[in-house]
Amino acid sequence: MVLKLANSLKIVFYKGVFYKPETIIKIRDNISIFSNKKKHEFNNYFKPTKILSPFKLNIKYQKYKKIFDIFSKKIRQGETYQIKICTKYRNKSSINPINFFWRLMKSNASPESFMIRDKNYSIVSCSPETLLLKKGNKIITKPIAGTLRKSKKSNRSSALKFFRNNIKETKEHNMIVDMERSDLSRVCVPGTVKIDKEKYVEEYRHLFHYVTTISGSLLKGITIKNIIKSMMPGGSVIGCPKVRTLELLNQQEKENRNIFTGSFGYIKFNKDMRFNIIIRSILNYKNTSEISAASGVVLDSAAKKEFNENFIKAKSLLELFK
Amino acid sequence: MIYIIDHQDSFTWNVVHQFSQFDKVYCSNYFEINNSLLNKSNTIVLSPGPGSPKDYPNTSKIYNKFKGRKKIIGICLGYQQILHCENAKIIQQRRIFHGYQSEVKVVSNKSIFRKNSKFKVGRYHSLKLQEPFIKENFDITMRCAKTNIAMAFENKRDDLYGFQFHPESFLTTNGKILIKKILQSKRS
Repeated sequence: MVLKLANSLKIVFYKGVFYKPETIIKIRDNISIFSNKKKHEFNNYFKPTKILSPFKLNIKYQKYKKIFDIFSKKIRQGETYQIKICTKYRNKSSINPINFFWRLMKSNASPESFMIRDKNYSIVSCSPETLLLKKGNKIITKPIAGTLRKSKKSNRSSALKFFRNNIKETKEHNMIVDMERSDLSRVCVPGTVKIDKEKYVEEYRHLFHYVTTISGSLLKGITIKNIIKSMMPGGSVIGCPKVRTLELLNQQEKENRNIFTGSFGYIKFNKDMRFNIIIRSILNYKNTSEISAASGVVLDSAAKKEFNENFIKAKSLLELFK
Repeated sequence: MIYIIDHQDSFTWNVVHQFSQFDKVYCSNYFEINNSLLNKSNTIVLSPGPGSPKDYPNTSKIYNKFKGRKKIIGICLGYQQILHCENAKIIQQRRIFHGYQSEVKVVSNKSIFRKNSKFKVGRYHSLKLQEPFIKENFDITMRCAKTNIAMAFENKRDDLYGFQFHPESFLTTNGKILIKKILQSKRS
């Protein structure tokens, strides 16, 4: 299924980028280096970070509320059951991605973090979300739905209690679990798709997340392309059901999401692979830094709260510019 | 063989896997029907999906064509689709149930399920059946234990079944048994 984008959503960044690694550095108990390069030349040219303008939000609250109300109506009509509105913080800047990445790892390390530095762009990410992890014929996904801002008093168990007792968070999460089960089922042997770990809490610097792990055994003859088509884009950052919800988003989000809610990962020669969902990321391209965040409209959500949730999600990245 | 008509829902493949436990299943989009396989199938399942029954005239045509000739099972939108074809009104409800686990109760003694038995089920619906709905051979067999909203119908003469809830959801505890009984039930 390929959706056509409205003209207003013109592609700003590359649709996709592929790299073949020249050098692999494996950091385990000891460090080992595998390289195709005979003579290693270290490129020590680092651009210093320059911040040329303060961050601006692309959608102000009034506009956000308008989109929110349109989507709430669509939910009442049964057109969508949950939909995620993306907002962006943007400034004029060039960044030193290596410096940013190490600072980010100190403040907010996360399981799907990554950094890319190329000649004309860089990405720095502390993504917490695994879209898919494939080893042999086993495949896992770990959708996140549910965010709680940390306070001085909160801890993992109080967060779990909050999520369990909160109807809005629970039903949003349930929906994503059923949707990801369905995405996996498309490429897995019937009867093998299982919830391995249901509704647990992961802790980050500014927030707690509500997570579920789902796995399955891949059908024989399933290709990498089949898997990617079935799983991408990750449901937790779009809404549900995917196709209709994407159509609705295309009508309202006037800017391309660029890398946001896409995926970063690797495919090995033995066809094992791992992909995350690109959230909590800085894209620095053409002297502009862009930080996107999305939060969900379901029927019981309040526009103000969801709008603010986007700020909490972007916070640890915005802090790097201070 | 079971033919599942997918209304581009993000839950359809859960339905496919659930029915695959009992028979061979073929699934296609509602706008890409394989007519020869549809003709060969014994059972047609109308999947959940976004929007309302009016958006899927092609599915209505298929229903009208095969009603009484094959077993037809509707889930969520599929359930509404069948009722819509039987001239029922499908309306918006004030409280909306997306991702809810509710208890439903068997309310009819004509049901293939024991009267007064209860099931925990997952719900994803904005719309509901407007009542009263009176139609020969159609029985509302399950209702929400709390709100009394119609949750299932059976028409044993024409071999038609529908659930407003999702038997394939992980929120539904006895989904497999529900589907098994319906697939085994014979026209009467």
